[in-house]
Amino acid sequence: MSSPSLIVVAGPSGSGKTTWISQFLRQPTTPTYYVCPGLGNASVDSAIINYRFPSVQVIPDTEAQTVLSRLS
Amino acid sequence: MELGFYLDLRSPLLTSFPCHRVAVVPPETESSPWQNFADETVTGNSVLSFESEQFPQIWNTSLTGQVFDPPSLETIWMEITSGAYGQVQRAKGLFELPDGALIQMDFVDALPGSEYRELNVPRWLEGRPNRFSGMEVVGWNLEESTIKQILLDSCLSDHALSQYQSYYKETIAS
Amino acid sequence: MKIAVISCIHGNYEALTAVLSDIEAQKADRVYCLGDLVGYGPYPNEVVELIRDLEIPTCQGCWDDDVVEGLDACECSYPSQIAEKRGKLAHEWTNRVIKSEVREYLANLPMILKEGNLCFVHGSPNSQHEYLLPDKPRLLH
Repeated sequence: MSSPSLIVVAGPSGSGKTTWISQFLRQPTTPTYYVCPGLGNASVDSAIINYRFPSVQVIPDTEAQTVLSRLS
Repeated sequence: MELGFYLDLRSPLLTSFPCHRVAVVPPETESSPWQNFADETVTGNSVLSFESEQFPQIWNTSLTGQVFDPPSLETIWMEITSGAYGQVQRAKGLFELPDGALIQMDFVDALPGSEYRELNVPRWLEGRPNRFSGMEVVGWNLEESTIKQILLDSCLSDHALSQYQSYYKETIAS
Repeated sequence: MKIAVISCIHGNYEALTAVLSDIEAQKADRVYCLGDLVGYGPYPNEVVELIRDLEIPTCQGCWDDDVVEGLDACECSYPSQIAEKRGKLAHEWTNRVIKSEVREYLANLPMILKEGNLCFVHGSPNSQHEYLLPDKPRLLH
């Protein structure tokens, strides 16, 4: 894991994406943002990351596109 | 950034910026759109890939402010995950309990049982919780309105909630 | 002697006929039914009529008592809030569709069936509404 500024995690439903992200966020060099686009404001995953990793800033779905377009 | 299975990996939005792409795929997956997309492949849970099947639907709902009767929650979780209201491939939920705890419940069709975890957040014992809780179900032919109805049927009334909360506050105080 | 014991049929006619054919295939000498013929399932009248026609000895279950005496006749507790909601809906429906002769049959069911040194009851020897759970082993002594 070099130092990519953005890590995108994909995979089939139930394969363990959120689990992998949770393990990653436990490492000391944690990134500070999390976004899970496409689920609106009722995203359970975003809420879980928010509760379990208070230092990680969860980007609301409505702002995802703006934030991502700034990266490109 | 977490990409749900419902997003098109070829979307310009997802390919237009520099990033490190990780695919989490079931063991022994030889080729998949996720691996084609990724720089790094991680072996995850042994779930069935549904490439050849009909694309599943995804349904989610906020339950913020609702507090569950625990045995009812256990009953309906078992009913939902065992397919009483449509075939479920994945279910996850954040549920408030009357003792003020917030729990996370996870079900993956290909894995045995469900996982439960109490989240490390303050116990909410003053009225209806003002923090997110909700549920997400991925599957086929989901009876969404019935699922919503049984969720609400399992939630406590104002009266029952205040009785539970005063009981738990007394228990904690003594 | 081979005895078959059935119970809690709850208006499920298909399940009852399936179990009765299995009992026949297994050549049981006697069949006893521990009640709860009605409630939840869609065929309360048909289930009672079949049990009555076959003259299967039956004792009264808590649901059978409820359609005779009314839901508030006992201090019944439900295992969960949703079970209570569903139970009340099922009771109202059953109460509405049940025939008067079926209600009368249920009202006249005995609390206890005895056969030699055997005793058959729905809940406990004290009441058809009482749960005898594993953590109450001394209730019978």
